[in-house]
Amino acid sequence: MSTADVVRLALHIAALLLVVLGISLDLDDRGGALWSDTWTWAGFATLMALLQGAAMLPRTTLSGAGWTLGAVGAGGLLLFWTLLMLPMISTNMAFLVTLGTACATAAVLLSPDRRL
Amino acid sequence: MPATTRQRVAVLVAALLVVLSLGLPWTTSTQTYVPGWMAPSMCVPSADGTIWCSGAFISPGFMSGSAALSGAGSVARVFLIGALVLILVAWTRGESRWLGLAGAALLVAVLLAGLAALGGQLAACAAALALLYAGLSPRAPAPA
Repeated sequence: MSTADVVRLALHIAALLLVVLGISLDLDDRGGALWSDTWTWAGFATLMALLQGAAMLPRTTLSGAGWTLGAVGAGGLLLFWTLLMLPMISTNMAFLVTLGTACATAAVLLSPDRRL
Repeated sequence: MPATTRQRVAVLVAALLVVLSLGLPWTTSTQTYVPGWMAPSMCVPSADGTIWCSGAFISPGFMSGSAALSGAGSVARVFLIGALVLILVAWTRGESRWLGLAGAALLVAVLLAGLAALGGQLAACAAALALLYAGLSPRAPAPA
């Protein structure tokens, strides 16, 4: 595994951890995490955080659709961040999700299978 | 990546202006204070020595309307982030048509927010002009 692959893997893992932790912990004394307020959006963000990791899969798996699925995941995280996190950007939850989204976007853009 | 140095600088400046616009105000405050009221109770003595009192009523004052919003808090944030994504796509694919689309998105955001000449809108307009310049200006001819 080359250094670039290690960096991309670390970014994908960091993206998943940061997003899931950000929406699952009550870091701003709001009386509950995002799961208790709007579980649908929390589920969507979790699904997208898992999907962005597909960009790490080799081209031989999933008929070479790994990067496309990863890009969809990163795009979904970006949509979630724009619609829900940006208005509350000063909160701890938004900070973690912002970092996670940035990691996912960087990991997808650094992929050698990039089609963009 | 845009062809000439001027186009690349214009795109970078536009991206910075869009990020700046996220933090600057896009809408003014429409908050007004609606004062409360109070109706005191009234007591009426009766002939048999008892007193009948009506109830007192109180309604507290409250604020109505919305506070001033920055770009990150207003609807314009969708168009601002969309413009940043289009700038990234144009930069990586080297296709200037995406820059014109990003500039148009910023102008639509300003129109939808209502023309108020606030800092965020002005920054978005300046970014739109820079993107339109980078997208519509001729590319350098290929070396012979």
